[in-house]
Amino acid sequence: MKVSLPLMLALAALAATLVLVGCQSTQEAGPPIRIGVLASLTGSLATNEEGAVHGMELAFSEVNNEVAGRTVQLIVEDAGLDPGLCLTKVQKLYEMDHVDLVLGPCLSSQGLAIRDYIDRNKLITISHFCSSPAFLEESASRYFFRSSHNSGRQPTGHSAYIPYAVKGYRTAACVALDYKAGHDEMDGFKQVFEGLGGNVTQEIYAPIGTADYGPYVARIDLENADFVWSFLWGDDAVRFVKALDQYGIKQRVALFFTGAATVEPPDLWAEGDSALGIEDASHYSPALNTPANNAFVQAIRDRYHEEPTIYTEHGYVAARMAILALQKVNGNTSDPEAPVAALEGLNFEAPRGPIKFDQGHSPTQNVYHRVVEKVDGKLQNTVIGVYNDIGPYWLPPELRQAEGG
Amino acid sequence: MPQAEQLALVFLDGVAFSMLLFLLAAGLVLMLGVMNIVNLAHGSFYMLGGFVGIAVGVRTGDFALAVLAGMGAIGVLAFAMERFFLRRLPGNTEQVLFTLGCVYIIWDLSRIAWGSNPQLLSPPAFLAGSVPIGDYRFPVYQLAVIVLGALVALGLWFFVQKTRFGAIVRAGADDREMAAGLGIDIKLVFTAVFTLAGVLAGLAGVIGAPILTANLTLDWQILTLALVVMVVGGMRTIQGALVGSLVIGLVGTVGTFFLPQLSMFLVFAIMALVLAFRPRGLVR
Amino acid sequence: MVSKLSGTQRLAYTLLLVALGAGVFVILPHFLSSYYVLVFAEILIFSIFALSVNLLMGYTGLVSLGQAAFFGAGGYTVALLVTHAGIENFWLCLLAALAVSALLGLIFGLLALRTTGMYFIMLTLALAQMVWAIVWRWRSFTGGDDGLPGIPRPDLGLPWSLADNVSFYYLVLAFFVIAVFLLYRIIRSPFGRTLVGIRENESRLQALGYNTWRYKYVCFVIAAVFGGLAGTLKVYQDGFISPAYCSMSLSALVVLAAMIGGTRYFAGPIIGAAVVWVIRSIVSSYTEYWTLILGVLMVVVVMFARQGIVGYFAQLREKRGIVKG
Repeated sequence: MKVSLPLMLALAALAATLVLVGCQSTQEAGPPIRIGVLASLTGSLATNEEGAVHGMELAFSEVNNEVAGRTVQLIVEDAGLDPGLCLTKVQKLYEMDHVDLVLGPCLSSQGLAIRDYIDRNKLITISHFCSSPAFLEESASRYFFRSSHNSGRQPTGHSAYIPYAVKGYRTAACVALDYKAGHDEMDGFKQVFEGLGGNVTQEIYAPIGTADYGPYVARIDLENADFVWSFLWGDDAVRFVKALDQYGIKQRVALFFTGAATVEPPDLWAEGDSALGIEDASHYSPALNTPANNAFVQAIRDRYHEEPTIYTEHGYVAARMAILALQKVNGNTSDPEAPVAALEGLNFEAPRGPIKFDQGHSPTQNVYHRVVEKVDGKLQNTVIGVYNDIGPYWLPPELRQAEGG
Repeated sequence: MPQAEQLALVFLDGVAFSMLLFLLAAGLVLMLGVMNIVNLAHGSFYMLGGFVGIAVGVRTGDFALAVLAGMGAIGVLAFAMERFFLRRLPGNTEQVLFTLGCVYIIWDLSRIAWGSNPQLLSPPAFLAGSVPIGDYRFPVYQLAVIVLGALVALGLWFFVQKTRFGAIVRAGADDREMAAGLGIDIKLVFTAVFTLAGVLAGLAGVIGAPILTANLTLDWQILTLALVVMVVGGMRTIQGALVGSLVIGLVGTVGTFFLPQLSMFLVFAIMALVLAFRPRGLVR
Repeated sequence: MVSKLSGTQRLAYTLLLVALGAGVFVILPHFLSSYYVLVFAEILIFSIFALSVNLLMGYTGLVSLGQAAFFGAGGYTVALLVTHAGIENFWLCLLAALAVSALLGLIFGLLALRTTGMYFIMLTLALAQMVWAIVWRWRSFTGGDDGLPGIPRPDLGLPWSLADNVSFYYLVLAFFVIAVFLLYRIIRSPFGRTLVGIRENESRLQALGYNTWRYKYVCFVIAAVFGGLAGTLKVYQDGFISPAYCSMSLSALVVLAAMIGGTRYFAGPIIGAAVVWVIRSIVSSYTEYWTLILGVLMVVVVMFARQGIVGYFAQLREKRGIVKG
């Protein structure tokens, strides 16, 4: 039993029209400053990204959601983990919601997917992650900034420097997730560690979502490694760290990882005691004991009843960057060039410490030597060393001549 | 040059993983054989069982309770799905499509209930710790999983081959009309089989949680592996499910150890080979 | 459907529908925002995909949970040619994508069509996952998890650029019309009727001397080719590709779309594709429960409205026709 095709097509068209027309936004950009947020609110990073959005909201609430007399409106969109969805959403934010500025997205793959679009439309985008070096190099855009770090160089450079120069390790077995950022991180680590004179004896890559880390961990050659270096996050980090403990690797070799990964909260909390004693180098720790950070942590606890993570801090700082830049241009969002210049000149105190943008659109900041400890029954990354003024392209002094300074 | 102890580690790890796969594949084989359906929500059962088990285990600190909770929760879910929905659907295709819709529902409800942070369950205290294997160590818990898997396999074999109920299940699988003619309530058999498969999946989810954690990508991931196990092992017998699980579990683990860049691909390569040369699976 | 209208009335009726269709599909996009044109184009692309899947599912009765393999194969062929071989000619890339999808269909069809029913479902799922695994792990070639970005809109030598969403929409519309026309002709042909016969009672047709396997095989390959077409259009639309284009969730989503729209009606997959895509793209902005909504919709359709949305209205119309007498 069938119905005529033309009729059904017409009905389809009608239905589609009704939906589309019904959903049409008729608003024009008015007095409020509209800021779009691209966050990965579904998928494995969802809870982290909720924290990031909380950080952003906190920053805006601290200025009473107002900059230069204009109300700030946040429009949050879920970009999932899919670059395609992110592109769809940024177009929606720009063309439907007429946002003046975008915060986010999280994944470098998403940032790369929207790069051409934001560049073409001169849409200032301040990502709270997107740490790929590509954003400072081949995919740099005048309108793209980030509040995070530079994969492979900062803080990874210190994850090679501290083991070599401070701890005296000479050989490393390295494990990283098998995707672009994992390769960037491993290459960055190798560049510094081998440049200083160390030897990377194993480079092991594991696909994201690996169910069983047994074979990867068993592969680590205990005879030929002074320490194990790694870059993983999420469930993979949890399984990996547990496996290191259960398979006896942790008992036999030192572990020194790169920060903003592997033993970073909230993964740290799931890893439990298996993570105790693991050291890393990172540009932030929720346990950093400074007035600025203590105030930030307390504010997040009071407002959201959660513990802040690096995602929360990154989100907070991205929003702070937007606020400070908008304040400097007196809320004038008609010309994108002025806020860009303002962003490039920023120099302020974030929960993580001092941050400025003297070497590009990625922060120059502190790097901290951290170790996982249990304090009051809770795991934290205690700061045991500070390195100031580390730029996104940081290299140890011994290697700077080779690079040309 | 890998040392013997590394190989031993990886081999044992593979067998433990195989046991988890077996618990799932056995349920799928039963459902396929008796009810002629593929439960696309089987991976979701595993995932949800893990989430429930972790929630109970973390709150009460009682691992046994967590296991029972996982088994019970999925058992109830499976029972409800079969009794109130699958039974009302006219054909196998519709039933399979129903289970597909359930995948989405279970996924989103799990996401809402437990969020997306990594979740971990600690093994019970008496199974914590590792045994030394040369310079390395192997978790006692995973040895226990191997033993449990073997026991379940034995139990299932006994149940299907030696008990009266098992005979009824086999009869229902072989010839529905005859079984009905003999006075067997085939509807009851269906409900029992589906529920049993669900319970096994829930069990796998909980005992797998300390090894694989529980997260929102597990449903499709583990379903794929379980289906590959069925293709490789032969879709009709519990023995086939066991053989398939061991092959895939070991190839996956040992293969990854030697060729980490090929990991997942090796599993599918085996499947492709089996399809090309032994399309009915390794076990007749 | 028995028409009670006279010849002239029918003509006027049809012309009205055509005008309406032209109005909506051709003229309206000029006035919609670029974002909605984008979604509209994605709906058309997804419709082509859903129609291809329904050729197998609705008309032949073969439920395949692995059609994303062909969608992704088409997309990746284009992406690889553009990125690695620097080939910019749209027609060359399109032909290559269709050829690769067809080839994959020929191989998978041989393997999968040895089975039917449940085994067929499992096998198609497993085979598609194999494609996904290869694409996902072969980082040096396919970019692995990161995918391949930087695929420019095709240059067809037209006086206007396809870089903006509205112009590209018209290209998609053209392919949509062609695909709908071709698939409609296939369904209406003796070949198509045989497919329905296979769905209804394969053994009977075999007894009558039909080589049903051959019909199923051809159908499978045709579905693969149209799936590859959809994937090609999508990769040009997005400008990049990732393993998500071959994923199991995409295979499931397109089956969902066909079911929700109605598998026994030609236009069913089109409606279903629109509904599913709107939920995914637009509803997702208003609620975080859109996956749940999709699942519930699927369950409701399977339990209570197996004829799908189109079927529901069609049957309503029939009943009314009976009542009117």
